[in-house]
Amino acid sequence: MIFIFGRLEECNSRLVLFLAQLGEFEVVTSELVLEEVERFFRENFGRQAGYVSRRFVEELSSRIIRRDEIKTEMEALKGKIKAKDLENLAAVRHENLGHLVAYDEDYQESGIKEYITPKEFVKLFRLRPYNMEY
Amino acid sequence: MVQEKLLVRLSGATADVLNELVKRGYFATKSEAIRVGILRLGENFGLFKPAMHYWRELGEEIKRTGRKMTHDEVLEALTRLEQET
Repeated sequence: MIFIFGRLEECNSRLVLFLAQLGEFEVVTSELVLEEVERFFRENFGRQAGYVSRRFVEELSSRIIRRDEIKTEMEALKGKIKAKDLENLAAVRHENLGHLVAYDEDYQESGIKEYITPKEFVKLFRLRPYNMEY
Repeated sequence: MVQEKLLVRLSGATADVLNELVKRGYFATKSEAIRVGILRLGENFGLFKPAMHYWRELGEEIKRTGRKMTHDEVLEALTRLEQET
């Protein structure tokens, strides 16, 4: 979502991506996000866009967390969170990351302490965010 | 877009390394290996940032297709993607 809206709209997700490109924080991405971003751009803007978006995520990320690495965490989190969010949260727990930047109310409803919206995340860097949450 | 055409003479180690890179299949052609090498140099000296390069390229690719998605269309596509995944 951050990678997609950040490229398509003038929004807080874009600010997050700019901060990342400036090296203000370290980006760690799950294999699931990488696949989803590539697929989204491929299906909506063509094969080349899919490839380039994948390369963008790979280059911006200091690490891509593979599914194989987080089996234990995924097993432990089963039933505690929606299946679609399982892999991302498992990656966060596996790497002991400070923040899970996303715009998904399911994380909030499940009480995920690492969850933060792009708007709140941007504020941490003393930037003035856009009005929208994403 | 700026274009440069160069004739570069290589011998010794540089020629050996270039031949080996192509022979081992890391690059399809010598030209490709040289292009990537230049970008790596740019990266080392802080002149080129791959993420920014791909960011711009993605923007150009989106523009090239001429497709504009509304916020709701993006959300819909994302929801579908999540369900299928």
